[in-house]
Amino acid sequence: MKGTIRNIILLAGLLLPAACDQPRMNFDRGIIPVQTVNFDQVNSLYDDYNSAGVWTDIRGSFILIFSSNRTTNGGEYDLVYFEGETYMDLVVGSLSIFAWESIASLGDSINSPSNEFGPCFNQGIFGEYYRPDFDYDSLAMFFTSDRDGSRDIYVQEFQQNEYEIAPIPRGTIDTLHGLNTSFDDGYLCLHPQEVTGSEVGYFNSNRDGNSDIYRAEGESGVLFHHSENFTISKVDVLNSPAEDKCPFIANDLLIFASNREGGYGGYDLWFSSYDGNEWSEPLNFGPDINTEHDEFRPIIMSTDANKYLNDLLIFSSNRPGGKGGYDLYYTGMKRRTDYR
Amino acid sequence: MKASKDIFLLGLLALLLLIPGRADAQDDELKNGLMVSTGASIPFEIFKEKEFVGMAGFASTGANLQVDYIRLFWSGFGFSAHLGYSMLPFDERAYESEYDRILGTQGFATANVGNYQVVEGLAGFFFRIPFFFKSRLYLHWQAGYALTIHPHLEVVHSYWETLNTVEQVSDFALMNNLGFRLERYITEQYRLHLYYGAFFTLPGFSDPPEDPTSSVYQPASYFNLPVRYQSLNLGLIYRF
Repeated sequence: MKGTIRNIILLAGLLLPAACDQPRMNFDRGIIPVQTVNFDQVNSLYDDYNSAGVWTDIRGSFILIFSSNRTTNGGEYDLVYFEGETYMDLVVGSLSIFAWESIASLGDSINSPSNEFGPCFNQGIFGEYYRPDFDYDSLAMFFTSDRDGSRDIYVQEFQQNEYEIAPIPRGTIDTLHGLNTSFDDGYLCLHPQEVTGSEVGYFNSNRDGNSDIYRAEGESGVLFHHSENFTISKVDVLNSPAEDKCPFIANDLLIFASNREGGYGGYDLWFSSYDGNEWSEPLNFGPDINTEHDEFRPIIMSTDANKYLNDLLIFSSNRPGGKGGYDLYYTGMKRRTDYR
Repeated sequence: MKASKDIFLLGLLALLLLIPGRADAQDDELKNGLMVSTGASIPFEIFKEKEFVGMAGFASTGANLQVDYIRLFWSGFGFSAHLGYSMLPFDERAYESEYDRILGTQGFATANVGNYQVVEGLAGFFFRIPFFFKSRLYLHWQAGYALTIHPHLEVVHSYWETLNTVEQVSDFALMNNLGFRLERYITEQYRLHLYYGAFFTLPGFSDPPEDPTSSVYQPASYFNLPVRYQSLNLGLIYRF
């Protein structure tokens, strides 16, 4: 009797349509398409550049903060704040990026009647997802502003936000007195773990005439933005007789903009890798990224190696075909270890 | 080990169904029949799809071997049991082309994939339709279980290195079969038959992430594959 009932249920099950529809993944990990795409969801008719992007949790959401003169209709530059998500379809191998301007803007506490450029966080942000290995008390964002005359490097500390991805500003904005001069200094970015016991950052300055890339080492045992004194040196291998600016570091890869010889016209994007002792001779990213127009302020959003085979490169360019002025663009790029 | 157990159970079921019944004196035919046939297994619908859409199977035409037992209950209606093995190659070239299409001209993909294999154990009913002199046409419907083996799959790219891996994995799932059989008399006991059948099953396979212990979000570790194929067979029937 029990067997008969079981057989009837089995037969009934056979007549039911199949409900499962989980397809086979044709990719173990995602690949960000290696083709330059206009980030039209964040671009405006005005200039949009100088971005800083940070993954905020483990599911592909991110924040993007960049300079734009959209709010002043082409006047001064302010920091604009977007949040977004990425979705990688591992069946068809396509990447979707969604971004929206957030009400909770990081820029509100930072923007001034002057210009704000080049934001850069000193570490990752994980929003409401608590990470035991993350020091939430030392989160800071560096940026550049000419609010006091020449361009200087400033810092704003943040604290963890329990309810939103955007962290909450903490304290007041400080200037890094030990770094800044009466010349233009800006685009500070840290290079974690270059030196044991102290933090190292790279920035550009025209204190020697044209813009060059400098290395600054903070005081031992003190966070970079709490240091009063810095050991500053020009990094000769990275610099050229032309303008070298906007350094950004992801892991051991430093990328920057330069109008040096050997490029494709205007400012191009270049990269150099760190072997544990020194930076390599810079190489041009090539014609897939650079054009005869200007490419500026590249940043790398390093992806989780468990999820992606490559990283996300975001930069700005005034190439034709954009929304107007400088626009942000993104493309996939191989991990920094592949450049050594 | 699980696969061996499943095959054993299917074999036992088939043996039980092969016990002959008493002949009906009113029927001019022998009541029992044992059929052996072989032919082509032809994938259809999404199982033969060769693009990265939905649940595409990338299956190509393969071969099969089938053993069936039939028993007539009364005129025109009977019971049948089926044991079969089908092998359908995975279209490696088409799979590689899809990767190359998506990843562009930088580098090329090389796929190393085996064959899909299906062991069918079914039972059901058939209706006999008089067709023409010395021939009969039968309509079959069967249901049961199928053991489907997904082949080991590995795709390596010259630029991106390993793109995809799936270990050989099997699953035991419900199966339906709808088919036609054309039977042609040779002698009272031996007949030729041409068989066409469509098989449907939906196994589920595991495809665990590279580091299952990682707390980092990773894609689903399970997938379904709609295995749908037709068999076109030629065989011999022994009636008793």
